[in-house]
Formats: sequence, C-alpha cells, structure tokens
Amino acid sequence: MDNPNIIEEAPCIAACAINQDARDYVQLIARGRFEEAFQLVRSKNPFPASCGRICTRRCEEACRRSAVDEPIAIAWLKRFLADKDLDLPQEKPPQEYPEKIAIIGAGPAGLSAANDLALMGYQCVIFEELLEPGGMLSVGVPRYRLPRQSLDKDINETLSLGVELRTGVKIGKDLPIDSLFQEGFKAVFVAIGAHRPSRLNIPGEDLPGVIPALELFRKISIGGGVKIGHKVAIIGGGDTALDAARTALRIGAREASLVYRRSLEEMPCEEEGRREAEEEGIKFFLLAAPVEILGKNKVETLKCIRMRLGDPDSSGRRRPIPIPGSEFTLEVDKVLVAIGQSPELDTFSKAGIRITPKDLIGVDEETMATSRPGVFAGGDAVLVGGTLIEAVAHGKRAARAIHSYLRGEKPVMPQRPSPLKDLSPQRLSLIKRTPRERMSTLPVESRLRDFGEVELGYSDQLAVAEARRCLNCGAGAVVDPELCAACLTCVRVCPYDVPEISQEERVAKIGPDCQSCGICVVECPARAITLKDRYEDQGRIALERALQTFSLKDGRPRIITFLCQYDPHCAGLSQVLDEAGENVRAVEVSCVGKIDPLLILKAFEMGVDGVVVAACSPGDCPFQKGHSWAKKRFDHLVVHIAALGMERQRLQWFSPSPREQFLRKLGGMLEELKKLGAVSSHN
Amino acid sequence: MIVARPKSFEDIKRYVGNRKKVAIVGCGGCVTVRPVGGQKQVQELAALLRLWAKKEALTRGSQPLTIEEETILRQCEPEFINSLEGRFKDCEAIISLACGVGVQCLADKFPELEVFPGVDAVFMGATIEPGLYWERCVGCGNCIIGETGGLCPVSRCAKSLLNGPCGGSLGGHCEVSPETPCVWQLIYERMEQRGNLGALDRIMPIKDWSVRPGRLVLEHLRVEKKES
Amino acid sequence: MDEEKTAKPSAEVQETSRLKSGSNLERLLKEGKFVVTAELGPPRGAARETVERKANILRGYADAFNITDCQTSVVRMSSIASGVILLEMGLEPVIQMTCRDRNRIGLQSDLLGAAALGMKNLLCLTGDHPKFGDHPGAKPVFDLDSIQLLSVVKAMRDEKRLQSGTKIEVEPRFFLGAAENPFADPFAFRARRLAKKIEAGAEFIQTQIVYNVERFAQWMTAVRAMGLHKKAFILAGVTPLKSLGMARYMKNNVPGLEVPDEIIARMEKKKSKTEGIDICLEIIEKLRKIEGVAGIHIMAVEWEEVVPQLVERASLLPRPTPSISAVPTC
Repeated sequence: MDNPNIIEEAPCIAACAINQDARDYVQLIARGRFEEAFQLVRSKNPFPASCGRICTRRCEEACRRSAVDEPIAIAWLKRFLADKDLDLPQEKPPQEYPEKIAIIGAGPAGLSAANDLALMGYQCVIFEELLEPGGMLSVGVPRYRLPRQSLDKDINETLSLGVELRTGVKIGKDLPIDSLFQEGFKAVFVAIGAHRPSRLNIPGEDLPGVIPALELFRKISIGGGVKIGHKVAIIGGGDTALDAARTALRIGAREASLVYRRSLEEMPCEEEGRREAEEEGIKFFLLAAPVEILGKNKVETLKCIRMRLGDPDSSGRRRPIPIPGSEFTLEVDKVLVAIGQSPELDTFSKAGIRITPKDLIGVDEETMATSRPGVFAGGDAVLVGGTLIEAVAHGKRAARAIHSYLRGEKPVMPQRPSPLKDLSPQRLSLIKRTPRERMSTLPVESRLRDFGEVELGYSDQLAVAEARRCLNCGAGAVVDPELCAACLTCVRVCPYDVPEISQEERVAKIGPDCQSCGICVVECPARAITLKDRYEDQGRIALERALQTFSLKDGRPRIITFLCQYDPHCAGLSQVLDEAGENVRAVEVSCVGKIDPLLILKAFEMGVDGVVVAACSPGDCPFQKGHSWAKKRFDHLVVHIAALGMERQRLQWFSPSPREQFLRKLGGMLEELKKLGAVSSHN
Repeated sequence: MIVARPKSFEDIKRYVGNRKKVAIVGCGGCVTVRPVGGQKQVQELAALLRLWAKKEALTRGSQPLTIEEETILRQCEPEFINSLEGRFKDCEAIISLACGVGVQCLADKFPELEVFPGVDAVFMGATIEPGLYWERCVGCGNCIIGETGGLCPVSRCAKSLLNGPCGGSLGGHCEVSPETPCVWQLIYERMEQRGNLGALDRIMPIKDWSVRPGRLVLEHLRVEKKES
Repeated sequence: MDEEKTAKPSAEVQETSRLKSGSNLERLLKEGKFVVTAELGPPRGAARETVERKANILRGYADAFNITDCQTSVVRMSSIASGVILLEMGLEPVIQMTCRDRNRIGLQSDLLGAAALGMKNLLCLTGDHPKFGDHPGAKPVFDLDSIQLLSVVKAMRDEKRLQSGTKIEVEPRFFLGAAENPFADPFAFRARRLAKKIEAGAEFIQTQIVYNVERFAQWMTAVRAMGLHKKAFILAGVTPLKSLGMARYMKNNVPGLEVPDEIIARMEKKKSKTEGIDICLEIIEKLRKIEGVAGIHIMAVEWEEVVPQLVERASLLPRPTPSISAVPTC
C-alpha cells in the first residue's frame, strides 16, 4: 500500500485494521521470495506467527477471488512465513530520543506500541501483571491454536529491539500511575486488556464448579492442575467458548456441550475452529440460554430455556427471545462461562482518566489519547471484544501519536485506503478456477491427547501454489498516458477484456480487474504499459542473476532456460538444473506470457549459447492465453534468429513434462551447442 | 492510417553493413498503432542487429555495433523532427521505422547521413481484425465514394474500375485474389439494399488522376514564418 | 443506331452510307446475316509467318478475325501489327484494345494509327490483370475502363474530338465492339452493365465462351427485356474443348467461365477431340435458335485448325465474300 501508483487498494489490504500488505507478501511468496515476504509482513505487523493462526481474517472475507472460487488463504500464508524462521534485517532506529515511555500490559496492543516506538528510537518499559508476556494471547487462547513457542517468537522479536519487560508488576497496586511520571516516563500507554469475566446473572452462578473460561486457560498456562470432571457445559458462542470446550476435552472431560442463545449462523467465531470442534465431538445446544445452575455445594444441573430469533438488535444480529415452557436440563460437573470480559479500571479512574459509560477507557479514536495528557490507551481496555489485529492497530496508532505528542507535533495518522470494487461479473467466467490449497490438520484421534497444534501449516510447495492463486488486485498493468498511442493493442490482446479506450479519455485505461498476465505489457508497441506490482519484473533481474553465475572458464555451452513458475511440471526444475552441474541456468517467470522477446535477445547478446523456453501445457496456463502468446512470439523470434544468421537450434521450446524427456532434449541441445560453438564463433 | 510491413532482415543487414554506429528511429504515429515501427520494434530491431553484429564480428571487421534507439511522436511533423537537433552526431546511418514520409523528413533533417527505410509502407487502410489490414484509400485526390455506396472501387478493385464489375467477379470474390471481396459486388448489393440500383446505370466519367506529386495548401491554416 | 431496327434489319437500312466504319463485319450484321468471327492469337515472338499460317487456316471460314491484345496479360505480337498482316492478306481484322497497358494518351494514339492503317473493327476491353500473365509485377494502367474507352472512341469518331476535347481533322472510323460475360457475378447486374456498354458506344458484343446455354439464354432474356438486342449485335462466344483436361481447366481455373458437369461427364466418357467438337456444334445449334443472337465468335486459340470443320459442320458455309478493297501497306 506504499506503492504510489496504487490509489484504490486491494480489498484484502483495505480490510485489515493495520492495512497489512497481504497482496504484496502473497505475490512475493508466489515468486518463492519468502525472506522478502516475511520482512514485508514484519515491517507492519509484530505478530505474524500469531496473526497467521488466530486472526479473524477480514482480508479473506474481502478477497475478490471469493467470487471466482475461494479466497486466498492469506492467514495461512502469513503463518507459513512466520514458521520458516527467516532472517529479519537488524533494524536500527534512525535516531535515539531521550524520552522514556511506559507501557502497561504486555499484550498485543502494548507490545505493538513498544515495537513501533523502539523502531522510532524510544526507550520503552512494559509493565506486565502476569509472569509471562502475551496478554490475552497467552491466557485467552489455547495452545493447540497458538502454540506458546509461536507466540514467544513474535514477542521476542519485539523485545530484541531493546524493549524492557518487567513482569509481575501491577500498576495501581504495585505502582501508581502518577509515580510513572515521577520516575521520568514522559508518556504512558495503557493496554491492560479486559480480564474481568462477565457474569451470567442467573441463580447458582456462584456454585463451585462454575468458572470463567479464561480462568481455566490461565490455570493451564501457569501449569496448575485443573479437575474438569466428566461432563462440561460451556456458555457462549465465540472463539473463547469453542476454545474452552475443546480445552475441556483435552484435559479429560468426556463430554463438552456448548450452549449458545442464537443459531449457528450468528456464532461470532471462526469457521475452521467451529468445524474442528464439531470433528472433535463437541455438542452444540443452539438457540438455548442458561436460566439457572442447580446443585448441592457444587454444580449438578444446568437448566436452560429454548430461544427463538426475533428482530435484529443494535448489533445487527437477531435478538434471541425465550420460548416460555421450553425449559430443559443438562447434567453437568462443570460450567465454563465464556460470554465476554471487561477491563479493570479502578486505578485509572482514580488517576483522572475518563471512563466511558460502557466501562471502557475513553480515547480519541484516531490518536488513542485519553483525557489525561501523556496517557494513551488501546486494545481491549478501550474496545471490548476486539480482535488481535485491532489491538495491534491500536498499539501502532498510539505509537505514532505518542511520538507526535513527545515531539510537539500534530499527529498524522495514516489514511485508510478505499477498497477496489468487486470483480465485474463478466470477468468471473474468464478467470481460471483453481481451488484453495488445503492445509493438513492433525487427525482427530491424536488431537485430544494433548495441546499439539491442530493445523499443521503449508509446505513451501503448497504455499507457493496457494499464493499463485492471488489475483494481484490493484497491482496489475498501468498505462502511461503520455506514451499511449491508443492503438488498441492492449484492448485486443487482453484475455480478460480489461483495457478500455473511451472516446473521452483517448488513451487506454486498465482497470482494477487486471489479472497481471503481462501480455499487453509485452505487446504494447509504444512501451506504454508496465506492471504496477513492484515485485514483477518479467524475469529481468532473474536473468541478470543467472548470467552472473555462469562459468566462463571451461567453455561449456551456456544455456538460459525460461521456466513457467505456474506450471507444476516446472516446480523444482530450477534446482534440478542447478544440481546437474552443467552451464544451464533457470530464469523463472510468473507465466511465459510475460517474457518479452527482447529478454531472450538480451540473453544471446550477453553471450549465452542457447535459450530454452519451458512453458506449461497449453490448457494449463493460469492466464488462459499466456501460453499461446508466448508460443506465437517464440515462433516469430525463431524466424528472426534464423534471419540474422544464427542457428535455429540455439532457441528451443521444450515442454517441461515429462521431466526425463525435457532433460534428454536439453542434453541433446548441449551436445549440439558444443558442436556449434559460441554465437560469435568467427571472433 | 498508413499500414506498413517490416522490411526483411536481409535488407536491414545490407543497410548497416560494416558501420560502427547507427540510429534506429521509430515513429509514434501510424506505425506504432499498426505495430511495426514503435518503440517496441525499435528495441527489438536494435537487439537483433547487435546480435547479428556480434555473430558477424569477423566479416564486419570485428567492429562492434552501437545503436542509438529513439522514437519520436510523429516523423512527419517538422517540430518533432526538429527535436532531434544535434542527435546522431557520431552515427553513420539512420534506419527509420516510419513510412516513406517519415524516412524523407528524417533524411531532410540529416542530409549528411544515409537514411534507410526499415519498413515498407503498403497502403492506407483499416484494421479488419487484429493483425489483418485492408487497403481502403489510395489518396486519388478525387473521391467518388459518395456515388458508389460508400465503397471505394479505386482502392478496392484490382483494376480500379469505375464502371465495374469486370468479368472476373465470381461468387463475390475478386479473380485477382480470391480472399478479396469483389468491391463491385458489394457496391451492387448495397445499392440494391438501398433500392438505388439505377444509380449504377450512369456511366462514371473518366477520372482526373493528375494528383501526383501531391501538394496541398490550406490557406486558413498557414502561419506566417517568425522573424528569426 | 436506328432504334427501330431489328436484329435482322430490313433491306432498307442496309445502305453502305449508314455504316459507321464500312467494315465487312458491320455490313453483314446490318444486312441481317448470321455472322461468324474467329479469334487469332498472335505469336510470342516476331514471326510474321505464324500470323500468316493461322490466317490461311481461317481464311474463308469467318467474316472477320479477332486479334487479341496480349490476352491473359501475356506478351504477344501487338494486335494492330498483326492486323496489318491480315489486311495485307486480304482478310478483315477486329482489333482488340485493352486498358491494361496504355493510358488515355497511348490508347488514342494507337487507335488513330490503327485507323490510318485501315482497321475498321475495334473491340474495347478492360483487359485482364497483369497478375495472370507472364509479367505479374507489371504496373497495371487502367486509366480508363472499357466503358470509358468506348465513349472516348465514339467521341473521336462521331464528334471528331479527343478525350481532352481537342478537335481532330480526320476521325478514326471504327465499328465498335465490347465484351460481356453473362456468367460472372452479380448475374442480375450483367444485362444492365451491357446496357452501359451499349450506351457508351458498343455496336456489337462478343460474349464469354458459352458452355451453359441455359444460363446464357436466361441472360439473353434479360437482354431482350431491355431491348438491348435491338441496339447491338450479340455474338455468342464458343470454344471447342480439346480434351478433358482443358474442360476441367476451364471449369476450375478460368474465372467467370461456367462449364456444366454434364459436359465434363461427356468429355470423361469419350476422352476425344471429336466429342469436344460435337459438343461445340450442339451449342452453336442451340445458340442460333436464341432470339437476338446475331452470330457466333469462335475462340479456338492455338487450335485454329478446328475452325474450318466446325464452321462447315455447323452449316455456316459458304461465308459471304468480303468486299475488302486494296489496303495501303506500311
């Protein structure tokens, strides 16, 4: 989204609370450039491993590919990057500032603020009440969804920037806010989260055996044993409720029943988590609400009532209405309550910070500033029921605002880009259908034995294949109106009918439905079209690199092989060629339709003895027409090559499949080239 | 627009010969739109020639070939041609990828240099479909299309017959090239459709062909030369 | 031309004084005789003897002899020069003049010369495209088309002026002819186009070779409906088929020529020259019965030997003795 060519943003980027560059890192993954992709992710988001697992994925909801088949698995791809242990560059802040900043709470909001402030050059100290950092990620999310080591990876990266973490310190109780200022902190960011469980307000709620779900998580995370009993009821329908139910099964419960007052459709949880819960045998009592918990000295029975859905309420969801006389009971040993939490705010109201009627810290939504100068707040303390990515966004906004506050400047907040409109219906049938790559999951039998992560992640190959499904929204071709001759070539060659030349505009316009096939870029006689995508250079850099690695000493023929990155038969071929020990180098291009014949000529000009183009099979082209254009240009070029007196054998078109045949042909070509000698043999 | 086709590489090689440095100049007009002489083709021809020079290093007397690549907006306008002032100083020749008009304007601008045509202009025509062009006008200077149903027999009949069709019109095609529709058949059909076949009974008068070399003065568009 | 005159005019309108050119062909036609003309193809070379040999074969079997003008765009001895040889032999030539090789200056100049040399019959043609000939890269002229050429020559003759308007003292006196292809497309336009030629000055019409008599008859019906057979003499073209190969070639390779399948079938069955001659005789017989056909034109190029027996077997002998006066030699 930092690309100045792009005004309207890909919906995935626009939908994200931090405008994470989803399209761009997905495009990098598609090109096998994992390290750059990860660096790009991390430059915006200090929680890639966590977001890659438990993000609510507004990006995927917005993905334009949904209209064609299924959205890109953006989160899974982010997780793939985070799990690869890729190097990040050692970033040093451009300058050091003297002001110290106190951050209360080591959850995602606090850590995100610390991360960004540290990168700006500020000294940050995080005060955390618990013994471990992570906040709700640490105590509110079970480990089979977010393993501790993944969370630690994210946190440690931030801490490695020089952020100081003081755990076991409760601000207010151990240290009043005012004393932070007295200690020399120039700004405070309050990111205490919401850890006080909401109450059911029904009789029997205080019976032993009725515990908040978060309490359960906390006990497990600090290693305390929990007796869960045989039959557990969970109240609530969100991710926490599902997590509590699934956790119960993992610590010995035989039966877990989830009671939710609305229907499946209204459940505020992730689809995957719910499906996995169903697989694991969780029982769902939908359109049911608890009315009383019964038992002698401990929970024995949960009495519920059936509900029906009425008109939508203020949240837009249909209001549940009890059906009189429909009461039923569940025999249970434990009731886990997961109906939300609220922040503990006494300390802050006493410190003169405005609290809202909803019992949240009042902030300026743009700058996260509280009513007290120098004090900022974010995360669940200002937005109950917020998501991980919203907490990160708050932390990042607060960091900027704190910087402006300390520098005495007016805060400049990043503009939120507007999303591109949906793909036009006429385009849908022109885009090749390719289903999402599935991530393998742990088999149900072994899941319930421990807290091992259920979703197992992508292999390199699957990640690349999935990333290639990305339509590169908004980063396609762009026409330079100064150069455009309105010749209609782009209009005529586009497989998706995207370019238009209107009588009014008089130059070609390539709209946001461009699929980045690159055919028009190569064909434009005025060289007026380029791809906005800064990661797409149509094989130029790869060729440069390949040329540099040739061995020039032994006189063996040098061959450049252009490979289609999209073709499964080309996958791994590059490595095979490298390992063969011959003077053959691969140049991978995201569709051979992007190869400019000029690039092939350039390879010859730079001294290669032969060029091979290995494209997918005609029907396999992801851009439908890329293959046929490449072939047409190739045939035309062969004629020119012959005309200038070069041997035709120097330019070949081989199918990469079957591989043995490809390698045999390549071997034959090497032999032929040995006989022919160099292109400028007269020299 | 003018439709041109690339000259054979044999011709271009002959033009370049043993020269050390040449310029290739494209045109942003017709030959860009009917793509044989735009920036893309300039780049491609330059690359091919460099490669050829490399291959023929010995026969060319081991001379490396340097090529200046340039594409101007239109080669048929003095202002755009003048923008090349001072260019191509150490070039020995220029290959123009414009139609013959552009080639000559370049040659006038650089009289000391040899200027070669890189394309053959073939006609003024329309795009029938991408990659297929058809002649539609010969610039005869005396348009009669108004009397022939909006179809030009001068450019579209192999014999430019004004009182056609000749006896070789068969099945709607021209005997000279069977893929060409007989324009007189088309004229007949259109007139029939209009219910105006009678218009074809008139003997078309002998045409005044005295238009070459063409010179056109539009007084109202003339600008007085500025005193220098 | 007299509007009242029929295809077989009465004796009253046969006076020599009414003749435009005084040619034998014009006279016979206006006398109402069923005429026979024969084509003579000049050689690809300067051999006067070839012209003489062919002329001697044809002598006495036709009323006038058409000399082609580089037919199918192949370079041959010129029509006018060959015509001079015929005149010297006492035969009457029909000069052919195409618009392919000469502009209006060349056309007029050559025709003035032809008239001075004693030519009296002129067939005005647009001409084949050079693409079909032995010099396919030649620049085709087509400054005029056949209709315009007719009007130019008519004006030279009747108004004593060149195309430019310049007056001339002595006009070329030609009996003007044109060709028409009844089989080409658009079929419905063919009779109208004939009318244009007649309006431009054509007094006799030579048609494309007729094999499909039925279609020819259809065209003649349209011609008669427009009264054109009363305004010009229509000579139907015939060519005897020499072989099955020739029949097939004519069918497949000569644009605007229709050879019905039954004729091909007959040639396949018999595979002989005599069958070709028999077919031709049958066609001539049918053509003579069509109202408005004023004669036949035999095109047996490079097979001139067949003409005598064809004419004889068609009972078109004897031909009226030509009344050619002594001609000047050049």
